[in-house]
Amino acid sequence: MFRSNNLAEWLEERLRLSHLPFYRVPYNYMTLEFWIGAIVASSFMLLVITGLLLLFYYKPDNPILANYELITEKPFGRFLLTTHLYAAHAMIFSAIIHLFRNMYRGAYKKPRELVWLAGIVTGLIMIQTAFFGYSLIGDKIAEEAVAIGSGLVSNSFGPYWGKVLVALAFDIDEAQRYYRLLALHIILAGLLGLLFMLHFGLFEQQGPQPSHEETGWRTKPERIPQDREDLAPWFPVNFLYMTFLGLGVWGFIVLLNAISQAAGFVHQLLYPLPIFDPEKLAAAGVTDPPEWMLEAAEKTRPMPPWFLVYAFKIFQLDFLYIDAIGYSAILIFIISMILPPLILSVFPFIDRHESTHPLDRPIPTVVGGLLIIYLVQLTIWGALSIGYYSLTTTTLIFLVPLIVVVMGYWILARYKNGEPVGAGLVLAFTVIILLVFIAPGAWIVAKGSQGASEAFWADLATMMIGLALAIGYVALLATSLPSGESVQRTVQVGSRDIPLPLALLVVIDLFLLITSVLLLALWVDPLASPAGTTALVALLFLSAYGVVHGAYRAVVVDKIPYTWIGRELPPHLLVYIAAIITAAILV
Amino acid sequence: MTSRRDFLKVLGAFGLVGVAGGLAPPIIRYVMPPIPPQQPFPRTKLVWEDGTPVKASELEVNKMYLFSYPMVNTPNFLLNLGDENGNPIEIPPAELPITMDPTKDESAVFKAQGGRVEIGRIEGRGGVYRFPGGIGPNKSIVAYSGICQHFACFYPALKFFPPGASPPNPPSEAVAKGGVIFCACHGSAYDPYRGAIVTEAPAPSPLPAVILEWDPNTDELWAVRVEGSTITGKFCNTCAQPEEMVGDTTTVKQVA
Ligand code: FES
Repeated sequence: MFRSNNLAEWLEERLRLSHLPFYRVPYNYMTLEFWIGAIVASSFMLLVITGLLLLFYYKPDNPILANYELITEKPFGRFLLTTHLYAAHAMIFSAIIHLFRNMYRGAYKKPRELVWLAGIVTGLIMIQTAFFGYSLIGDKIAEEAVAIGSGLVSNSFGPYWGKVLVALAFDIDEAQRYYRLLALHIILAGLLGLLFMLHFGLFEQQGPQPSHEETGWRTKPERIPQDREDLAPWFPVNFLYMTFLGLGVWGFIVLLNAISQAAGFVHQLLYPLPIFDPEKLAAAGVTDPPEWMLEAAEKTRPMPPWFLVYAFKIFQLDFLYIDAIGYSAILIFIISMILPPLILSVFPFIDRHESTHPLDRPIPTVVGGLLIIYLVQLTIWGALSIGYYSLTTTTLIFLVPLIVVVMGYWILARYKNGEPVGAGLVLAFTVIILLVFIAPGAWIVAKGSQGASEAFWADLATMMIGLALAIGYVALLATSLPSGESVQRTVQVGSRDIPLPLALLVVIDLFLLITSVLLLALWVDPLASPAGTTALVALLFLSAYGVVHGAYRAVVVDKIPYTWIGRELPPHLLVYIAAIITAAILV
Repeated sequence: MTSRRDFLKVLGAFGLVGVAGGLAPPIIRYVMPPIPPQQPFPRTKLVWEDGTPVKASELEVNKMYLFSYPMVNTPNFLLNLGDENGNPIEIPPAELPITMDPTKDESAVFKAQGGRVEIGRIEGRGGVYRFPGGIGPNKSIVAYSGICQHFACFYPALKFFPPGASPPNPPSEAVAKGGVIFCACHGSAYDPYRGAIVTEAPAPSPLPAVILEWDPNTDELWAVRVEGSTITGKFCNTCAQPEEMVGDTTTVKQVA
């Protein structure tokens, strides 16, 4: 028998967790902003686990039947397939946020150039993996994805090589196709894992970029000194933080999935289940598919998952096809697939400013911000309309955010550097924004709303969203204006006692954890109530998250003192909201 | 000292590049599926699902029929074209450009109507081919590839809309009037009444035409070859393993 202290010592001597060679960070770096990468990584872990489990029942010779049986006959099959999809959504979404955050903070600067480059390559492979992943389903969206993917490649790379590339990716013989897609999906996912490790390993060599509050937006020091007083021991502090964050991410993903399953068909971009074509279902051997499945097929139009809708829209812009070389799609391919990562990867090499302040780095701030704005705009445009390709309209839609961001940047940068801004400049800025608001209205009044087609409204909405995003981005830049002096936080030493409110919160979390474990094991019927089951799994993850969060909080309570309940409650609120939603779905 | 270092560098570089370069071709040769050989066009009789031959007079006006030709995985539309009131319309023969850009090539449209405008310009784009026009008792039956020439979407994304029926989200007023083969993937439209020339970008070429033969005595139909550009994504219009070609008959299915 060990006494608990002895057990800890026994383990410490063998695992030497306190000697792990991870970069150590101060206590005040334990905030979400420094852990977005961990959100991406934990989504990836969930993808690996669910993906490997899905492998048990996948049939490359009849993917439609395999997936149909999986979601209708296998206990927890629907949970796994939909969670795999939602984890992919979460991973790609958080990766975009991760990229944007590090671009905005200038984290790519020396000595982290290679971390940045490895991250971009990892992101590219991530999108490729996702593409082959949703192609594997064999539903309507998947078949169109294969068609469009092969069409894009074969129309971009000439009559012979284009087709060779298509054959390599999708095979020529359709009976063999899904074997190849499966192999490529798994190979790419493995590659993604390796690249993630490279990206993370390179990051660990430098540690996180010191926060701008501490450096006063300077590039020095480049790393967090490892002799600071307030460094947290990696074990258990970072370890617990990482664990509760990962559990929280998993729970959040599964909770969204449960809500989406319970809501049914809202929009095809959010729908968590395969959308099978009725005729293909019949051909695959499914005789009486449920009504909701056929309804979903009817409401779906060809459109890729949200993270490729921007490219889907670019494909429609016919003025980008090069007439002189057989109306080739090569420019489309470059603009949608190669240009964005290429632009991002030059940032560390063109940005040599001594400052990390966004208003001292014109090119990354303006170009990077516009890239994100354009991504959102193209996605919304693609979802709203189809096949509209006037060069004038397109130019207008993308010119508006360009003007606002460039002018906004210019005004703010002059103001920051104490140069005279000039009333004229501010006036021009305001007038331009107002004009963009007024012009379409005037147009409608002049022509009457009859003249405005569906496509017109879609274009207008896209332009207005671009304007709103651009103004929001300029506002974000403005918040960085009071570029004060560096603040060095000191370690506070508080009491080590566990506060009573924390203990209470954890008891509720524990109760919910035990409840969800028991319900999942004994009571719930995964085939009769797939959404409820999914919600229960979400509650399981989230209550575990609450418990580990409590442990983390207890460990750091002397360094990050427990204040009033209003600031400590929110992390646990997620658990209780999940409990309410689960109860609502189950009952 | 330096020379030893350079020596090592060169060796290292040669070793790495050599291994990577040496392994690439074998890997590609391993994963590359065989490129299918070119086959002759089969002469294929159109039959219903129960095996009875399709009679030209049985095809309902403005309905959508699908059949595979020349390969089992290349679907085609079979259409008996008519006007808004369901009366069949004679489809005239025309010379069509193999590739076209609808935003610039209005000349192609004239040419499809039998005109001879700006032939040189169209020929410079990859040549022209002869579209023989409709066949059958009313010269109104045509067949086109059912794979979009843009990025290869197919039925139900690519669909025929008879005159008066508008596709959802029509990109232009012309498309909203119907009488088009419309692709819901990126909004391309083809005019089946004029050899399926492109009327709405971004498709780069007319849909390949399946050349049909009609026997006036028995009223039966045959598919005999494909004309026009190459079916999207295929090495050629008959590049397939022998077992992937349709045989003597191919099944016609009504889908709308
Ligand atoms: S695939 Fe038909 S328009 Fe793109």
